[in-house]
Amino acid sequence: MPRSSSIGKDVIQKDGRARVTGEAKFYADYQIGGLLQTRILRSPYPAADILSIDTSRAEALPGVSLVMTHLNYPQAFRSSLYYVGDLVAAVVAKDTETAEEALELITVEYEQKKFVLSLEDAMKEDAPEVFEGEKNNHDWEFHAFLSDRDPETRLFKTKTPGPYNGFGDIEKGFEEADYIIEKSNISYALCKAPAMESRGCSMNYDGVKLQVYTHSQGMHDEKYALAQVLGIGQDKINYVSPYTGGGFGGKNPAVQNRNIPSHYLIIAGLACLDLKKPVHCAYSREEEMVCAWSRGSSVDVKIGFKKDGTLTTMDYTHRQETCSGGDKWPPKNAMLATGAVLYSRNCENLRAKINYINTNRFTAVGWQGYGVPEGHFGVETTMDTAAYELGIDPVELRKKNCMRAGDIDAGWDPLTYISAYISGSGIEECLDAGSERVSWKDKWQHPDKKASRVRNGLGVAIFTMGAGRVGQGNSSEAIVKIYHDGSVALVCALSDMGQGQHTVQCQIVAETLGIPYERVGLVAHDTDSTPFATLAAGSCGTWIQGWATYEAARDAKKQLLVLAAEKMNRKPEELDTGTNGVFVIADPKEIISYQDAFGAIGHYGGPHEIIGIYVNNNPHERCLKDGNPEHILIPKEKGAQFISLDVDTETGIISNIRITMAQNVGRALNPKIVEGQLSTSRHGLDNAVLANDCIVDKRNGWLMTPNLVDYRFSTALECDVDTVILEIFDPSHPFGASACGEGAACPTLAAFSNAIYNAIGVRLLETPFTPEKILEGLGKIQSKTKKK
Amino acid sequence: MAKTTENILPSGEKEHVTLHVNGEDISLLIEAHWTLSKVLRNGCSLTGTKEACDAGACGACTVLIDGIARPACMLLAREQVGKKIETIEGLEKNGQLHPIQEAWLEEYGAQCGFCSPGFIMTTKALLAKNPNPNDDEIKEALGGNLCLCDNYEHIILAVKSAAKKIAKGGK
Repeated sequence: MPRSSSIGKDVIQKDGRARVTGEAKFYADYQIGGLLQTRILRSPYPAADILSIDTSRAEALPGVSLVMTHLNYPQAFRSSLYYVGDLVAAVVAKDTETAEEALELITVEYEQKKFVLSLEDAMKEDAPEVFEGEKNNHDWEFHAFLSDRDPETRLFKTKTPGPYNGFGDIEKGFEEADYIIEKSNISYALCKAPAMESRGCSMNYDGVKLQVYTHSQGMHDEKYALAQVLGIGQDKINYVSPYTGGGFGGKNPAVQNRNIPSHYLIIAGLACLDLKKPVHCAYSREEEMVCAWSRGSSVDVKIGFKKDGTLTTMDYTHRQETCSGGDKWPPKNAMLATGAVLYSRNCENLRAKINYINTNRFTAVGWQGYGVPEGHFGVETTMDTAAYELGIDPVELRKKNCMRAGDIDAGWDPLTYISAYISGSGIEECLDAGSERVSWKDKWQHPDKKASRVRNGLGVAIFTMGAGRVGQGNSSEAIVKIYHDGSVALVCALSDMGQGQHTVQCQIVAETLGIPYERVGLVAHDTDSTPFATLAAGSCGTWIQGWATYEAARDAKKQLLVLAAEKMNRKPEELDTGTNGVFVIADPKEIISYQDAFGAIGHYGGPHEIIGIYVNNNPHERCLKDGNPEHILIPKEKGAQFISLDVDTETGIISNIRITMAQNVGRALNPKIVEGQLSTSRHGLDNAVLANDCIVDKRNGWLMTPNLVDYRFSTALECDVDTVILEIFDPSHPFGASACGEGAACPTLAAFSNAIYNAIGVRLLETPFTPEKILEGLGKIQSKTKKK
Repeated sequence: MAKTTENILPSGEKEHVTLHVNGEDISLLIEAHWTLSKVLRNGCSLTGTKEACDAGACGACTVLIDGIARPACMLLAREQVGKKIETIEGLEKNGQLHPIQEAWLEEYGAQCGFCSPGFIMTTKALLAKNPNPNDDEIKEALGGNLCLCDNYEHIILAVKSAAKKIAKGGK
């Protein structure tokens, strides 16, 4: 075989060896001489103004280099505080102990203000305003109504700003429906983005550049933003981020946004530039819990069906708790759960109304699924309710209505609002394969038929998640270098925070060039050495970066074939690259080595290396249906999740949890990586059942669960995850892949709630699903909240 | 000479200790309240030991103390004098990965890799005590280690594969 192939194989993780030897350098592992340490003074009140602040005693403490407050660093600190844990001051000192001691010496006079700590309270007319002069409850500014649907292509041609997202005639839709199923206040309790590595950075000004050592999900994006807030040129920063200890959205800072807690960057940056000394600023686990990315929402869903179960109309209302001015964008992704995408097959009428609501809690920002889990929790529990009420098997009801390849993504993303063809689905196949794996037909029983103390339940939910953007903005770049010894380097800034993109992108290069995967090296550790790459978010790496990597490799190959053709006295199109060199396709024995293809090197030789490059910024021509630029193919993550569990009706305790995750990934470029991604279904389990709720003391706004003891994440003990991987070739990718990653946690809350219902006939629509709520639902204990 | 906990030093004052880490004696100047994880990372430049929770709740800082898996963020460095301390950096010998590390690499046991050193050290302690653990025994032994990438299926496979490698003559 002249060509090697690594696609579809479990090749070893590209930078894996360092990860298992302890040599992998996460940002905190860089040991910089004379590194100063930072500690942050945080607000003890959920709403307050700083009347006065005296830092003189702190500044006088030996070993203190700098005390930062709103007085000397107004670009980083504010005099008004919006949540317990908000920034008051920071001390930079010779060591952590000195910095902590200095924090104690800062005297602050606060004026406490009225505060509001829950979504419900914040929406009341007389609620205290989190930001003075601004109502807590905001209508989303980006709603658009889609119309002018082409009867042939089914694409929408017109978008009009309006009071909600949607299409069709919602009133008429419900009038004509045979069944209307409605559920309200489906509540996703605030919970935290998981990551083993807490956030932070070390910065060192080396006389020429600010060297920034930190984790990252998109180091170029972060560098641009940091340069802007520090007021220095983008050329004056080098962002160094070879390893990131988990991200799940939470390692995507927004330094320009004062509300969003990525303050470690601005604090360390300002201090380092002013002191001209290296500065470390890191969040402790407690700080991480107080201000890490979180999510929470409440949604209402109303769905209209025909007698046979055909879903025709959907009304969806989403209230996102942004807390103290957080991210208002996640609800856009909740649209994926609606008739705009997941149920696009039959849904003719859609209204989706989004509001975002501020409270005096730590800022909420989207993470894994970015609004999609919240949307799916609402829609997929309502669909399940419908299945029972219509007397249709929950799997069959979904098979009848779920999106198919070629159905229309209505255009939910306000960045473009372009509707497009869904390039691949396979949800029906996932439902079949998953049903078979869990023996759905044999084991599924109506809850009315269950009477034992411990009852097994089987639940299902389907899902879809974005995997790229429609139209412009799929920006990512790659450089592929071929050296004369036949080794190859992929130069690519895409972050690998565990999701495996460094490995997968190198597999794409190896496959394109027909060389062994082991020969592909990776240059990815800083911004100075790499071109721009997309933010690793929305599980888009395989698709957006994949095209850039593939085309850069093709570009390099093309150049090499031209070189070789001269030496071989052949035409480039007669040649191909492979394991041992460039060969003639018709006669693979006619081959020259890479070295010979290059010819002489050194002072009198050259070229010395080939540089292939590609900038992906538009839909690739292979992502256009019939080559028509208006007919865009857009890939999705998609599949079906089944959960089996036992509920003890005397204690309310859930056990024997087994998640079966069936996902169509188009092509599993690396099956082990795919399995690993699907195992993150546990993040949904964390939010569903581990009492994984940011419990706040209503009296004072303090987080009661600021550590990994009280706020629990899944260990190896909580459940098993079984994976069913489907590979239905996706035409929008060079190797038929689509995406996998964030989707795994999207259906879990719904599948879990549905499994509990199937076990005991109690519909829980408020997370976390605690034993208390189960016993309340069974009527075995009285509700605490409903008393009086 | 080994210091004992009875010798309480005033805050800020440092003392000389010698820790026995990965087969070597390392002389260090430390403060009484410094944790072992801090001293390993900052004093010994052994940054493979990760700190993630400061509460002994996640296992990222797991090291072996006289063969027993312990969270280094919960141990005072000065109390480890005279004990045999093993960290992730002590596993690879002459450029040859330890069988547990090999298994981790082959089974894709690391996603982001931040928890891997801790898991690998816990596994080393487990397999020394129980060379052929079943699934439940593995889950129980690893129950104190968190992997927030949720990579537990691969991790359990890696432990089993490591057990086989060691049985076949690995270390």
